[in-house]
Amino acid sequence: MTQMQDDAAAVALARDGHEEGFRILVERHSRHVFRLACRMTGRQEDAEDVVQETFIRAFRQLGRFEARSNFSTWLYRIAYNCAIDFIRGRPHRENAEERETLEAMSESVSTPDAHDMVYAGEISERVQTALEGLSPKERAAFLMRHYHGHSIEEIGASLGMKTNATKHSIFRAVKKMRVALEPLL
Amino acid sequence: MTPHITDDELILHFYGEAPTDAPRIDQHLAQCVDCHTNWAQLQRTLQMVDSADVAEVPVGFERVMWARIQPQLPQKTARVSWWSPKVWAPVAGLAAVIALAFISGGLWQRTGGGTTPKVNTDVADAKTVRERVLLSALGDHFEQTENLLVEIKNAPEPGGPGGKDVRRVDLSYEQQAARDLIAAGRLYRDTATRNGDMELSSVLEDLERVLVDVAGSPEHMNTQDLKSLRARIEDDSLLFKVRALTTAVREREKTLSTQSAKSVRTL
Repeated sequence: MTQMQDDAAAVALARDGHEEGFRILVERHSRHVFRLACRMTGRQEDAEDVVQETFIRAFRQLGRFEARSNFSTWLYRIAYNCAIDFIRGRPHRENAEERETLEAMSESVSTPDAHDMVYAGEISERVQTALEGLSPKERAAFLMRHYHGHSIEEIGASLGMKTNATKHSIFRAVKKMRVALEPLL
Repeated sequence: MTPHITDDELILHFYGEAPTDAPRIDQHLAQCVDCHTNWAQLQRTLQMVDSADVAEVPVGFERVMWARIQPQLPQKTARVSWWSPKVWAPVAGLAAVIALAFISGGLWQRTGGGTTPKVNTDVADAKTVRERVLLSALGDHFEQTENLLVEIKNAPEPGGPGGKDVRRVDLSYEQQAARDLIAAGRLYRDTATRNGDMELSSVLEDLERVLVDVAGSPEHMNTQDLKSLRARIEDDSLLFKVRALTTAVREREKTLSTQSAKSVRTL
């Protein structure tokens, strides 16, 4: 049985009112949703809240899930939207502060021959800072394209954006990444 | 030479979002040093993004998350009895087919075959039929689990003397089987727990732990991994427990069959 068939069977169980079916889905997908939420929110505690909210929303919307679709794609779409709502709802961090951080990063010198761990840590930190400098929708659009391989058309449909706006979100995100990571190239 | 490729075009090209422009872009990149350098930098940047780590997923995250989610789910859990086919159908679709076969078979016997079936309102008899069907499904589950454990126990050890040979044993088939059994086993366990059958629930939980280990282990195991897995199976006497349960389930099934046959004869 493929993962997709497994998911479809578990969804059918959950829809039929059996929590066990839904528990299988939580156990199977919560790690991936957590990683996605970490990238979106930048904080582990916030990511946990996003995972929780994602599954609760998914449970409520199970009736709308089409059995032929891919459950994980459907779930990630909900997760991105949950994360967007979550970020919008939390106290706003000064954009200026983020800009300054990014500018400071682009100027700071860090040699690629430094210790591997430090180097890897620096990449992650710079990527996260660049992500935080984007609007929640821009961030989601970029992550969906880059990490999950969704097409621009699919992303637009998932996030309620027009194709051009989706493209520009991705362009903006990539440009931020280039500024943030340029000193490490 | 064609005009330079813009940054935006390169981004779309990187993600495969501009297939019709791809030949033109590739041709230009092959001729233009500036654009080629820009393209190489973009590729490196996005490869770095790929390598960016996120937080480690905490151990036991799934269980903790379920404990947080479960109380918040709208209560639409079906309240069905232990023997309701509804409980079992999703994991043992075959059971429903067998149920029909049993039910129609029973009626067929009672009526001597061929004539219009007599409507039987005996609830106890219907319950017996369902119990037999479900015991059959559970017995099959235990037998499949036993087969899997035996296969792992008897899998040839990889590696040669002195650890020079680093060959690994391929357990991908067993892993897939384990994944299928986990889902079904959880449902049986949940149902057994709800029905107060803690002994059955406990064995199913022990089995699940090992099945999760099998499903989550590397596809190609080295000697150490394989030994450790076998030790788990042996330490918990899992094979013994599974065989005992299979026998008990099959005995009960046989008893019910005999009872059922007697009741048919007395009709």
